Amino acid sequence: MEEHRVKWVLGFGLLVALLLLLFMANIGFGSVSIPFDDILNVLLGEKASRSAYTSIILMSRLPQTITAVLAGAGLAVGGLQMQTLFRNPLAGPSILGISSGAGLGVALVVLFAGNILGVTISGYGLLGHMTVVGAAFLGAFTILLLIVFFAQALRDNTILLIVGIMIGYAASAIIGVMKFYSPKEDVHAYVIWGLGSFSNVSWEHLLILIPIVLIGLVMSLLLIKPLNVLLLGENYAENLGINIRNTRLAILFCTGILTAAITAFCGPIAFLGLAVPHLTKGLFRTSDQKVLMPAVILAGAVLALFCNLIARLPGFDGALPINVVTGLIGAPIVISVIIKRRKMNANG
Amino acid sequence: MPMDNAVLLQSNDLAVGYRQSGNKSLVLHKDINVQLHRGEFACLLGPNGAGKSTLIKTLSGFIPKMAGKVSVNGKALADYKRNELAKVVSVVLTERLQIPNMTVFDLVALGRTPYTDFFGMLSKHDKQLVKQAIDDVGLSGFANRQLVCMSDGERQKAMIAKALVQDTPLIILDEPTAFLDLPSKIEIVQLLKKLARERNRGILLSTHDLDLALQLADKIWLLAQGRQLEAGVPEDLVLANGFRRFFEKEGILFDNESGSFKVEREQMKTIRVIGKGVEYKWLSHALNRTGYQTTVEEGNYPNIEIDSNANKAYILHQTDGSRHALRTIEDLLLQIRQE
Repeated sequence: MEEHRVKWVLGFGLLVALLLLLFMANIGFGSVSIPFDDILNVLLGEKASRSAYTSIILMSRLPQTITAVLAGAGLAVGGLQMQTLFRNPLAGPSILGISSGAGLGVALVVLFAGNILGVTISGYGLLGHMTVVGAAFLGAFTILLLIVFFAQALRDNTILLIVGIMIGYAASAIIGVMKFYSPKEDVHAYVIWGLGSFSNVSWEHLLILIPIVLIGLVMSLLLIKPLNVLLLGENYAENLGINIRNTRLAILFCTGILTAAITAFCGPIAFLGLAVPHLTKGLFRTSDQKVLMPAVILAGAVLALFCNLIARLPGFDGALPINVVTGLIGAPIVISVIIKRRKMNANG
Repeated sequence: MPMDNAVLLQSNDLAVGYRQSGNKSLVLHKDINVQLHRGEFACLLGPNGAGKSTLIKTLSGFIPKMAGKVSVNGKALADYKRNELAKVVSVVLTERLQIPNMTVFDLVALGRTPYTDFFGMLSKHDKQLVKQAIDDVGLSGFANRQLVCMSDGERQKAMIAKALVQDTPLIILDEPTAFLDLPSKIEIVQLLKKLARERNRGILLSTHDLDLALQLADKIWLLAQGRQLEAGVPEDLVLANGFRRFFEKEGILFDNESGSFKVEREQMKTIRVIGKGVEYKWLSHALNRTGYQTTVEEGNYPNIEIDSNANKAYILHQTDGSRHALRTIEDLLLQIRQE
């Protein structure tokens, strides 16, 4: 037991250190290099040596960094919850079709409005962006309600999982039809949204995103005990006094609002939600959600910051979409986990 | 530990089955009247598809009863609140749990769920109980072992430890030995019997292992499709032809004398076997298996004499006076068949 404790304390120490380091790096690095003193001064509310630094940090890099932290933490929590609830290592926050729902909402606005009403949303600036965010949130929330409805009717988790995946396919199919009949420019605008970005979130948006993500994270901490018991499967959990139906609804709702809000503001961020729980489980070697949940929150933020930093490395200059980076980092992780699992089963 | 002989689980005219779509329901068994006492180890036996699982699920509170009454400690099962029930009935199921990164300690500790706080933090007392239970099921030293690195039998022992720390008077196990090898099965069933007695728990086990049930169960409940459940002490059930009736199938007969199944076969020829001890037993076994009737009486049939001296041999005297000495039963059977 004590051996574990030491390992866990070291693990948390490492994650917190990485978080601070990458937070500062995200603010410091970019196409304009800013001296460390100036970064500190601006963050502490004092004057920087050049006023441009202040505006770059406060208007661009700080909101982007905070967004990455929120998105990484939120999606990772969603991933852990889905993997635990469905007892499936390949489940992620987008498994239930919620991000497809967001995509459908955005497609309706970007493609449909452009096609039928002759309005190009991308030409409307901030107002247009808010419309996209609203549509994405509405789409994601509609799918979430649908999933919750099915969750109440279906007892079997596996069937619920399949229903979620099918809903996602259906949404993607509708998007496909709309893409097919839309002009190139609109499709391009949709594809750009689909690549994901932490940089389109302003302070006004953060005022909405921060509270939703915080609610989701607090809720996830409150669900630690039932999630732990659910590791044994629903029958054992029920016998141990867990109210399966309510717990499942709470978990779905928690993952749902996190995914809906983050996808609405940042686009569908791939792989983070799937990969971070695996990374964390590998680091902490435990199934205990009391350890994993806070660890996943930290690790999600760390990995999102890391991906965002790579996307902004000199030379790329923000040209590299976030999904390209998360995919390139996430895919090898998922592959290694699958191979490791196979080995474990072969040995067991 | 004091033996408190109170009735723990009781059913009166209980009917079990499933609610189907609409207002229909499928009743599998009705008029079930059984009792389980504290300290008692009962085995529920029956062929596949007999409805064992449905009865087990009803008694553990997973599915509602169709009619009648079930009570635990004198209180109707349905009247228990969710968290109260978790402190009265614990279960061990057939499913094989493969939970990556979970240790035996983690698993057993989850048995304390009904007693722990909002976040499921373990108190010193909880930890002590968990360690004790791990020792009690014979997994001392395995506390930090990962479940995925353990055998199926060891994992089911851990599940039994989980049931122990759940600290319920009643423990119900639904075919927990179904996928285990024979030594593990014996170990688990012995362990359950011991726990029932020493911990004064009522333990109900559904199983296919007739031999083990006959040897170790205090009570046996027999369940077959379209029949009334019969319960009683194993020996009474044997004498009342209970097993015969319940496991009737063409070509298979429950032998009341040996307490095991015999495959009915036409007996072809009689052979006299002379000898004793373990060789005698297995030679008779081999002859019976290959369709010969064995006897110790003299008569006009072939004789087999077992020579248990240094040069162990089976000596076959045919009715025509020929004599063969053979080293193994295999050679002997070959020789008999040739004649």
